[in-house]
Amino acid sequence: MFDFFSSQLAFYLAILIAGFIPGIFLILATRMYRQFSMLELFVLSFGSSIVVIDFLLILLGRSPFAITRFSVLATIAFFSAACFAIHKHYQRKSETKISILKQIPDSKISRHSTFLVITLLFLTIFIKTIYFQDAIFPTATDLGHHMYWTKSIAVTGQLPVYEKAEITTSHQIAEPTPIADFIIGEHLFLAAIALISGAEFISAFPVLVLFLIHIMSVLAIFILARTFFKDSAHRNTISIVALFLIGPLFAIASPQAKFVSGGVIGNDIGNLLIPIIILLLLKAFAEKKSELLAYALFISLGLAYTHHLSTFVFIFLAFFALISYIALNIKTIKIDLRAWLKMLRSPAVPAIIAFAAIFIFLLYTPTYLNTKAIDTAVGAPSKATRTGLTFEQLKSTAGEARFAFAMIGIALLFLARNIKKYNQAFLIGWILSLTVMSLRPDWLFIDIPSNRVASYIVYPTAIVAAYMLVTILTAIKSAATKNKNHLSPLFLLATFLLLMSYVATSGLYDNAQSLNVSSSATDSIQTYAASQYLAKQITTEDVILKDHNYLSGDAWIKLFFMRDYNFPLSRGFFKRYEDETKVREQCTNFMISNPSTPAAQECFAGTRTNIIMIDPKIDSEQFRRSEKFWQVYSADAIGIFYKAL
Amino acid sequence: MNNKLIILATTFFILVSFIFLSFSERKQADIDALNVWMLYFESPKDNSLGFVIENHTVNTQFHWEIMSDDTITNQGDVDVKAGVTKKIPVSATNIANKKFTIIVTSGDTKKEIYKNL
Repeated sequence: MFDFFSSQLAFYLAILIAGFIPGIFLILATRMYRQFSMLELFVLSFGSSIVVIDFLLILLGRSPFAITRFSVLATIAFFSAACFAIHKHYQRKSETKISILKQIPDSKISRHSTFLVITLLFLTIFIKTIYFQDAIFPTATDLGHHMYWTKSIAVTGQLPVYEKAEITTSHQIAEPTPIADFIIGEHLFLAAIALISGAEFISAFPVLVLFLIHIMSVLAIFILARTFFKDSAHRNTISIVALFLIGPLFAIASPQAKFVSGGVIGNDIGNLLIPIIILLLLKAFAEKKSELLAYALFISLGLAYTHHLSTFVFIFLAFFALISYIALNIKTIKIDLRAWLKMLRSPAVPAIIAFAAIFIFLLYTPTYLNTKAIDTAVGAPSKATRTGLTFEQLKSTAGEARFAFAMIGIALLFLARNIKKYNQAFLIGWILSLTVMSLRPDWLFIDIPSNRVASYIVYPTAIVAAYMLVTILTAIKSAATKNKNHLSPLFLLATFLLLMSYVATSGLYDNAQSLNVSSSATDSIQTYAASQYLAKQITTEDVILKDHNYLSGDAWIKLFFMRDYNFPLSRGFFKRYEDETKVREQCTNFMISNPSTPAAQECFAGTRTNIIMIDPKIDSEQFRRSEKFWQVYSADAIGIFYKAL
Repeated sequence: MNNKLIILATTFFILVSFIFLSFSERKQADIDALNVWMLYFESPKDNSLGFVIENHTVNTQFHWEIMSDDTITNQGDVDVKAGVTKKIPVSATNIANKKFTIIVTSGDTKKEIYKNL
């Protein structure tokens, strides 16, 4: 029990040190605390910390020092001290005696609204916790892949080299070649927490960190909704309804809790950083403050170092927002353009651009910035999964009730008079860009899975749907108050209840559909026990092949060996071997499905595979029939065969 | 004040949730609570026949048999407490060109491993 409490304490300390301290000191140094409310600063400090940790660890990785617990702590301490010195310098210059806390603007949330917000946050965290109870033990495939790279940082003390050794057409295992699927920002923050806390990689720690990121993204939507409707009399109500639509309702389906337990790290961080960047940009343009624009660019650079899809979505979002702005403000565009150019010429913005150039060209180029990866994402859709969703599929992804209100809400947004021009443009640009990218990717020449793009739509949808819902209800209330209609109050109340029931039922039904039937921990623990057994037995001469179709938690096996991203070799989903778009190696399939055939024998000889991990209930007979294999390990969920001859 | 209250409440909810989930994960990760047992060779790659019973069930009685082709060459009973890994050394002569199968039963469960020497 003492172990449990000490590991818990270490984990929360690590969250504080890596997740808040760097951001708080950056906010002090840049004097952002004068621009945002306490709640906004809470979210901003966390988002900023993720980005700062990324850049600090890249610098550390490029220095002669190894990335260790001590060096990470020392780097954070040095950065914080430097920021504090800058803050003190500004303080002396301004000669102000007002405390920092008093300089933070008050965002005026009423007592009733506060109670509602806390209740909704409680429900949000409670529902997600119930779901995670059966998904907290790490078994998810994506999370396993990401944890390999995170562990490689902790084990080697170096930045990861994203490479894997693949099987060639001549059945040999080739030298490792670069892979563009992973981006360093997905792993550095988790590696920092693992190093500081000493947390085990196969534990609750990765899911808990992602859960925290997710809760922060929910809070980010709440504060962003408040900013979008800053001038509306119903600002509080709209933001609370948005929190209701993004928090307790539709709480589990992608990209919410499912993305957290699934370990879709890039999306989770992207869904936090995108609202933060929009918040910064709205304030920067509305108040013509170049330091806010520079801060937004800094967080955008962090996004680019974390997730290519989120960056891609953000670029389109910004483009659509610009088009919307021009269309809605054609008369003032020349004056605006001059103001924008003035902001771009201020010292802070070119400084951030120079910082970005130094990092990208001299220190670390994100893996996806190569011709092959760019070619893969840009162009005509190459697969059926990339040709766009149907309207029905998009509705299902966004959540039926949210989607219904949001679609009417967009039309209303064009006519809205109580929204500032930048807020209107960003909100329209955000939702329209994602709608077009999801439904008609060919119009924009993008070639990325449509369902992944569509998952981003839930955030703007929640805000626009909240706006629409509040607009309808206030219109009905206002009409009733002014006695402009002949509808009875009872009918109005029934309408209100009906609308809310529709929204709540839709969201809660979605939650129920997404709940786990049971945990897969029992089978995965057996997989991990067998992997531990093999880790003690094998040498560099041995090559392992495992099955991805029926083994639980198999993506985590590589963490026991840390030899290569592709070690052990893996029999993938069967449909992958029938890919018509490119020639796939067949060895991993042959060596498990038909190990005695001549083709499989060639594969065994070429790859030197001699150890097979399979589900004994499904795949053991073909090995038992052959005299070349010994069964050396037997458990209910996993069997290991050794190729002796 | 209200901003602080929202931050404090969120932090508190997250903390309670994390402690609960960490405790839940710890319980799920406890292999002794899974009611499973494993059988494996002590050295999987050579010709030795020594094997290991790793018990994570409440049943502690195990019966083992070593079969050479279709004949039982050796057998015995062993008591393996929950959470304990027991090595069973096997010395055999004249083992060339034979299949040795180790069959272990516990209650109504049975597992086997083998080597074709």
